[in-house]
Amino acid sequence: MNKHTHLYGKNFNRRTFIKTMGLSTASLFISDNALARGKKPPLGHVVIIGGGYAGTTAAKYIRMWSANNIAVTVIEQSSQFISCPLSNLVLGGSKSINDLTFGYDAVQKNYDINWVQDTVIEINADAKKVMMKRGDISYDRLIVAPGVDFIYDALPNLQSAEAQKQVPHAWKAGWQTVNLRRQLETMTDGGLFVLSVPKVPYRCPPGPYERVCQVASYFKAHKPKSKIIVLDANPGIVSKKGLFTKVWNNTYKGIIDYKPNNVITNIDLASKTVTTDFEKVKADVLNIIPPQRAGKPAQMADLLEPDYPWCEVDFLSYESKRVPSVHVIGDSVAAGLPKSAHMATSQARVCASAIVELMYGRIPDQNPVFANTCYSFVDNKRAIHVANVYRYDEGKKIMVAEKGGGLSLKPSEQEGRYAEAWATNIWSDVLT
Amino acid sequence: MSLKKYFPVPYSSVLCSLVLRYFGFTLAGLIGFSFITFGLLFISAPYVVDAAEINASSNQEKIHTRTLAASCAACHGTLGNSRSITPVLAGLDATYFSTQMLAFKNGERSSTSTVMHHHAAGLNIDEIDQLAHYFSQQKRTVKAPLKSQTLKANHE
Repeated sequence: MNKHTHLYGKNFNRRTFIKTMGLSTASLFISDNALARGKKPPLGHVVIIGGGYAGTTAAKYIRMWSANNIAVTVIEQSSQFISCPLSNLVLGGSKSINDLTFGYDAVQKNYDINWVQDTVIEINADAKKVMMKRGDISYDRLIVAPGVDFIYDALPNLQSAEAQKQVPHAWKAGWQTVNLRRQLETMTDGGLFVLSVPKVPYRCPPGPYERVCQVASYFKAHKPKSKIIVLDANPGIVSKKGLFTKVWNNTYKGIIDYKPNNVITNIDLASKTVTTDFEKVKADVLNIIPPQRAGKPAQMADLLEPDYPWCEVDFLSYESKRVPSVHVIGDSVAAGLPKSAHMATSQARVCASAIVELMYGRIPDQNPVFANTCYSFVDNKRAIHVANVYRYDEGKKIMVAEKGGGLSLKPSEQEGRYAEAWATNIWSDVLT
Repeated sequence: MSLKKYFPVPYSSVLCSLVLRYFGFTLAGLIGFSFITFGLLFISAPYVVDAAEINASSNQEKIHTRTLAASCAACHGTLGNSRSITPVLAGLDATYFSTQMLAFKNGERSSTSTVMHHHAAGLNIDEIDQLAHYFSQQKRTVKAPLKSQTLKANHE
């Protein structure tokens, strides 16, 4: 038992914990627990599903801005936080996955957040209750921040864990990333790396093209006879197009063959051969980034649009347009906004601020403004960026990019250093 | 706890501008600045958040500014306390902050700017002044970056 108690954070006393573990249907009343510790009664209880960039940020800022008057519980499946930003550098070889892996202890402790390591199996929005494998939990407001879910409808044989070992997506950082790096390491010189890019919208718009740069950088230094084919389902490079094109044509000349409008229709796992409308390609290392939709908990709560697999929200509070008292932040949100880590944290803070105001009976900010900075590394040192400020448009009721945002003029080591600083600070902001 | 409590504003403002002028925006400069100005006052201080103070005001301007300011945290740290080479904004002199942001916005600092001109351009002058005031009121803390750890075998 002791081995597991820490997973529930220090707010969960042993008695509550044992009760939960013993009775799978028992409800957890966090506010009771706070009272038991002699603290001021909280204004209410916010449950957050997902401990990624969005969910963890929301948890921290709700605690901070409510002066600890709102109890917060985070439900997260994993015991560690692994950053997707910078994970392409693991493929290039300049970072290890252990540089990008962090614990949740500091943020839990510093902000007295209830932390539950469990998997959500059902959400009952009428009863305001979340059911997990090992217990239930009640909420006043729920934040759903599950990231993306992969769609395997078109490639059903890629659905199994075994298939994803052979053909990794490496689009959720962790052992998938390590696996893809190992495949690149064991590939003989002269081999072919094939990357499939899904149709927009997907997590991290420039990510696939940064990945191409990182693999090309590794090939150029260690396997100079090897080649890359990019099968892009989109009609062209989705983000930072001019900058990536220039780097591919100059720094990585002769390595990359980019094919737009190429959707994979069939895959033979054994031979790593993919078929598109135009051709058959046999890869030595095959990396398929599947098409995406809002994460599973969002699906459970019926937050997705019927004809569009993402969640419509009110951009003043990130409350779902379909289910009251349920908020959605991060990659699952339906928006013309890039699905980036910085964007996830920016949305999380607007949502946190609005929830605090609403629970105090006040009016949330009616004109939210936030920033997004997104860096991509084109080799092990040089980076490029796209940066924008987004402002709420009262007429359109969406976040609109302000004039004056934009891209780097060219890749630079200075921006590489700033990209590292961005990572250092966003990790510390989210996790401490 | 705010800077004001410990130092009268003119002193901290003048010192801030002078030190920043001489040290520039380097990490060493910022650490040096923190040591010179505050000695060991804050080194062992616990993580302090002015949550009650922020929360006391319910008006739109305050919540607008706190959320906008928090958006800077990705590069400049929680409440403006950077743990890397990006400048610390916490406790920065408000006039200095506004002047620099306006220089980014007007393109006067574009030759030395990588991303800041893209951000400053999207903010109005009121927002810049409110951010300047907000960050000037935040306490400076010196903290090491978060330490990474080994990926566990049982993780997905």
